[in-house]
Amino acid sequence: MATPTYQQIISSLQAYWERQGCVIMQPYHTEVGAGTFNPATALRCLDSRPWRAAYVEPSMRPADGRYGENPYRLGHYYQYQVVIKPSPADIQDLYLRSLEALGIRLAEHDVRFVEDNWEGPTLGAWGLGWEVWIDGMEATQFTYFQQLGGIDLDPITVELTYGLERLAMYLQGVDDVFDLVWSRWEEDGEQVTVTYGDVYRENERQFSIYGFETSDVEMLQRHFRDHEAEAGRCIVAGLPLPAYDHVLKCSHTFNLLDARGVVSVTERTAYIGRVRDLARRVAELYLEVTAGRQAAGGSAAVQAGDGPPAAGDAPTPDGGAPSTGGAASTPTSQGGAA
Amino acid sequence: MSTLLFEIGCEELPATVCVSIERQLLGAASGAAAAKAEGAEAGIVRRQLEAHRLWPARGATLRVLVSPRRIGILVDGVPTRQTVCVQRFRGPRAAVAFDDAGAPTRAGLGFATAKGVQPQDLGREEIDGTEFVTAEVEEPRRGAGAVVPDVCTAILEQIHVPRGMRWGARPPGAQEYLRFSRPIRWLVCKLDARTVPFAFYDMQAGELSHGHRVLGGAFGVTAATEYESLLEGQGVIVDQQRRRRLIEAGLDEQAAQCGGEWFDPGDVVSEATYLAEWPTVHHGTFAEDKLRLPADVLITAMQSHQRYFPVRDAGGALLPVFLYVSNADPAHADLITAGNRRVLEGRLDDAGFAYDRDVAEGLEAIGAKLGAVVFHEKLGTLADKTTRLQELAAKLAELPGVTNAATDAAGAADSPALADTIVRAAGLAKADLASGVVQEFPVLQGRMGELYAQAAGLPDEVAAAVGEHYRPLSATAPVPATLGGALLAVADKIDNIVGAWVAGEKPTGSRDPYGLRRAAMGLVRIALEYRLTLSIAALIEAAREAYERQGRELPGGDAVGEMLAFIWERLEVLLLDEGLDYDSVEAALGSSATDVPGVAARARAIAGRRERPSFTDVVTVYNRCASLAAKAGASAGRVSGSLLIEPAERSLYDAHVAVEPRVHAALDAGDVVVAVDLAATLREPVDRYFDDVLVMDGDPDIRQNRLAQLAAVRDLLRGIGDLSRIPV
Repeated sequence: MATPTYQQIISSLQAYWERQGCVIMQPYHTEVGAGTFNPATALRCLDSRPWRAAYVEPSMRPADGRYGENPYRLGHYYQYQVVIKPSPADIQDLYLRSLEALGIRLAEHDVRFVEDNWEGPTLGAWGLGWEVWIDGMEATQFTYFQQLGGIDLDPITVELTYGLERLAMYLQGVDDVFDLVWSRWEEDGEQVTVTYGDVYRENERQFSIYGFETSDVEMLQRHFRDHEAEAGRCIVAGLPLPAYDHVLKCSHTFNLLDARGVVSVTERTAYIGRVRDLARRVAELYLEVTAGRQAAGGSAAVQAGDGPPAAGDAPTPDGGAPSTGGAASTPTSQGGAA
Repeated sequence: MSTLLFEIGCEELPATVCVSIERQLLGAASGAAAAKAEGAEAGIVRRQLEAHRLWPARGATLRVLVSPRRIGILVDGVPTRQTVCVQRFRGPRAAVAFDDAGAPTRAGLGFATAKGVQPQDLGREEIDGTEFVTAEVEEPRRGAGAVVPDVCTAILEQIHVPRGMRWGARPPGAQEYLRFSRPIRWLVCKLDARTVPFAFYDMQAGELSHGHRVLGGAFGVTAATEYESLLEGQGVIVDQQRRRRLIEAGLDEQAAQCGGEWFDPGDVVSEATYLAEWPTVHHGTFAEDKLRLPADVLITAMQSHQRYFPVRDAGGALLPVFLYVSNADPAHADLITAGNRRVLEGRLDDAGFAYDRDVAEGLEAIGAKLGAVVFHEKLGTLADKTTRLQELAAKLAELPGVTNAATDAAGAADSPALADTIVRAAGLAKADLASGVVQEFPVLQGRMGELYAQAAGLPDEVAAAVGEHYRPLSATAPVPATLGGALLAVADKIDNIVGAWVAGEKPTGSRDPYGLRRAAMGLVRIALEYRLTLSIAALIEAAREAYERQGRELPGGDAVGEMLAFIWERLEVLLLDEGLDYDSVEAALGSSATDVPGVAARARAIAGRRERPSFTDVVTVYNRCASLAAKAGASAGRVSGSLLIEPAERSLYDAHVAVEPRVHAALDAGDVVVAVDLAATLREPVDRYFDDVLVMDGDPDIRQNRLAQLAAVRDLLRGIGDLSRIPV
């Protein structure tokens, strides 16, 4: 059988996790450094209601950009994120079967769970778990969240973060991310392919130039202050979801400033501290509002229930929290997006 | 006698946790010795079996088998019933329990009935002259099967994991989450062929276990004694020692096939032992052109990220191959090797990018970025640290006690060149921390700096000093091989130590997050090996000044005293480890010596001489003079020859004057034994002095002069040590 295209890999994961009862969400509308920041993970893990979701998340890490010239590193890439709360007893098996759904015959490979612990300082978050290796390749970050916004989580959410590009490179046997086959079809008897490079190399080049050389530092600094203030206003107004969007904006703005190399050491600590402080306040407010709405019989985010919410439920909530070092999609290391 | 099996099935445990749990369960002593260990030495398993009276008097055989997904506890020789336990209770006074005729009273009967014994079986015990009745009651002996659940529960609860986690949801009614290193998924409890079911948290112990993820499956443990062989049939070698031997044999075989020998500087074998339940070893190759990269980079890329093993030929040159331990079906090794090879090639490509970029940029330019890297929040950036190191290096080269070492080392004294070397090296010492390769592989700090310094054409001594300044890496690892490296290492370590006090994070008790004890020990060892006779107080002062110039101050209180004590404690540990006695070490630490080799030489000399009669003379002289001289207070003043009256007074004065410069000279030369022997000659005049002279004369001037004489003798001997510490 032909190796799966990049988009087929995504479709297979979507179909598999849909069968496991996950809400298949779409990417969030605001820039994030990792799928963990998407409120479907970062805020949803806070409350006590069951939750299952899966989604592709574009991850923006301006400092990791390499002008499209490095075969392993990207400033913009994709993660496939699965969150399930509470973590099911057979989650490792569920995960392994998702690999089989991608065409990886487990009996012929060496799949390992190698200790790896995760910490997201900007979110006041940490968890324990593994990086999953397939024949020595880090394919997925597997984490049991313990704390977020400084709050002990209860119940525990498990997060699976697949590095899509890396996984695809493995499945397609490709050594350069830009050579990945994104899609393939036949036209007049001719096979036509579109590669990752066709789709994204120019983006990498331009966004690297922008991130490292062009961005307006003063504007970014101003935006950081504005979003920080707006997040604070939303918190005071009792609106954790809009507040969280501005926290994400702060985080991304900080990442842009960092890539530009204009954040001094002391400023860096201070910036991260400011984002963490906002994230903590949003997390606390989110819990308060959710609990209050539940007590009033309403639905703060989605209706409480034992199962995953059915289609047609109220619009889902968003909150979000940052993550660093989730199984990044690039073949090698990940940067530390705030 | 029965065999007990308790298996705790887990999601993959971290390797370090596996090792820790094995030690906790088995006790400090391992293997056969564990069976004999007592008290705290015994591990959790034996302690719990003893507490529950299931540990037989003649001992049992205990094994703890740990693989990534399970902890198996096997105890052979568990008694079928609890061991005998007789409890003794004290009752009423005998005179109350029995009447004059010897018949039990109501009180006596009541006590006997309450304890379930016959009145005639009551014993007697006398306490403080009063006789009481006693009852001996044998505790019921429950069958092992009834007690084992309590034992297993207690074992589970007592295992300590350094960073526990929670998972899933709290079961209904549970107030707390169960915490463990990774989720526990099943429990097996067998006493011989019998399943001992019990409930723990939200789980039910039974007989269902799980084998290898791919090579095995779920299976029932039919009997405790079958545990190991059943697991092997399910693709799990549960005995960690066997796994380790298999891995080592496989590495030998594969390395031989590649025409070389494997090596393992990162001790990956220990970790690999706990990363596979069915380990097999295979080899792969990588592109030969990657060998252009420094061997350290290749080795670290293989070991730290991928847990692979490098192979070298007979000449020590790296071969373009790697060995790895697989947990998969060996039938598919080719496919798996191909996957691993691609991952390694990618890693090496990436390391190559970083290396080439570093070399192209140059060490100086890389170092220019240190201003953006935090050393410590309160101690500034690495650029700040570099500035301090340069100042310290310049100062160190000038300090008395270093120049001597330079003369010794070089043969020809060339301290300006030395100062130049270490100041240049100090400026570059931390530069590699901003390099691409060290950011990828932190363990290569120092080493990359050395390589990049060489690539930049810097003098060898400068490159070596940069490369060596983190040494020694442990209490037994080698100290720097060059004097420049040694001095830079001293500067780095004292900056770290003083920095901890400046930042208010001095080490306390078991808390030493920055490894400062190791730093201080390294400093002491370097000072000894290089005979650096510089004053430790002066060294601290130099480091303190470097901080002060950056506006970073020590806190109030006796910080300098604490730092001195902290460093001297390391020397004390080292000397005691050397086998010197405590008194001699304490005496030497109390001497007026301010440098490490000086204190060590004194401790060794005192320890070597203290059994001789002549040493007793020295101690006696010290003690006699010191006890009276204490009355003179701090301002004993100088001895005035014109106030000497008695002949004995004059002769001590003369003897002291004669011996004083020779003692000083001997101590300065490090000949402490000579100084001790010289001091012994004062015994006779001191004894005569105390026989003939009344120190506390009525004339205040004469009295003060005599006290000053005694103080002078004391101070002379104090150069050897605080001899009051030596019992005579």
